[in-house]
Amino acid sequence: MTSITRRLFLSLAASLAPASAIAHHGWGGYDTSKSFTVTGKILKSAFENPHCEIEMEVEGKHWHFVLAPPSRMLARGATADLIAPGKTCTVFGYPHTSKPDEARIEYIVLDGKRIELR
Amino acid sequence: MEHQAAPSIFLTLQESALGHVMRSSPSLYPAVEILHIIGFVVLVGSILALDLRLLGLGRAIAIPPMAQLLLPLSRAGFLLAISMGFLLFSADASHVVKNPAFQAKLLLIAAALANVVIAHSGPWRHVESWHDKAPGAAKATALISLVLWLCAICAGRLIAYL
Repeated sequence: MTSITRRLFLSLAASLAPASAIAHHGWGGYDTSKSFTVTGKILKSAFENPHCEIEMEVEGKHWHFVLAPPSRMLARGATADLIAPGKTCTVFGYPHTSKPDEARIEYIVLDGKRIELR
Repeated sequence: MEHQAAPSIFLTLQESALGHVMRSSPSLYPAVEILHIIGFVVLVGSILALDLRLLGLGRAIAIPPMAQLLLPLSRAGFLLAISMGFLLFSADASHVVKNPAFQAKLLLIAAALANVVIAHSGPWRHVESWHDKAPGAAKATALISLVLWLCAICAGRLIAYL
């Protein structure tokens, strides 16, 4: 790369960097230093694009857990009936940096089986 | 996110059979995403090449035959991108319509299309007499076009992050 191209590229990269800090999707918007594991009963679930979601009440707190897209869920064996309301599920994930009731889930444990979602 | 109800037309779209199938089919959504990307790659790629030619790059290539190849590609890419974009929008219309990045993207596309109309009803009408060098007005619309379409891509990608 010529130096002007490199400088352009670097300044563009720098100007876009803050976007990752406020990311909603992807993993940038979630605080990986505050990972947690909880187990609870699924209250609501949506097996939908762009991301599957489940809602759980844990110790009086109502959570929205963002899972993987349906195609990846199916590829890893997490079918819709496994995350249906009423099922017990363990999730390991990271809380959103600005939405206190949302977390992105790295893996779930269903019927003793761990399923990676990342 | 539900602090304000979206206009009912977007809720109707989202709750339509189309919105439902876009959300529930595991393979349709990513397939439409791929076609959306191919659409705007063809659209912006062909526009970028022509705009750079007007701005003075690649002078060995004559402008009219280059435009003859690239402008139909731009139109086809635009139609593919906008139709696939509508399908993606239908999956989550009531939320996406309130997304600031999505709103910015629509404004940028509208401005870029207005720029197309200005360019082709103005300087482009005399393209045969340019003698391989675009006049200042054509260069100005080329530069505006380049910036607007690239910004539209940035805004589009940021929908998922805002």
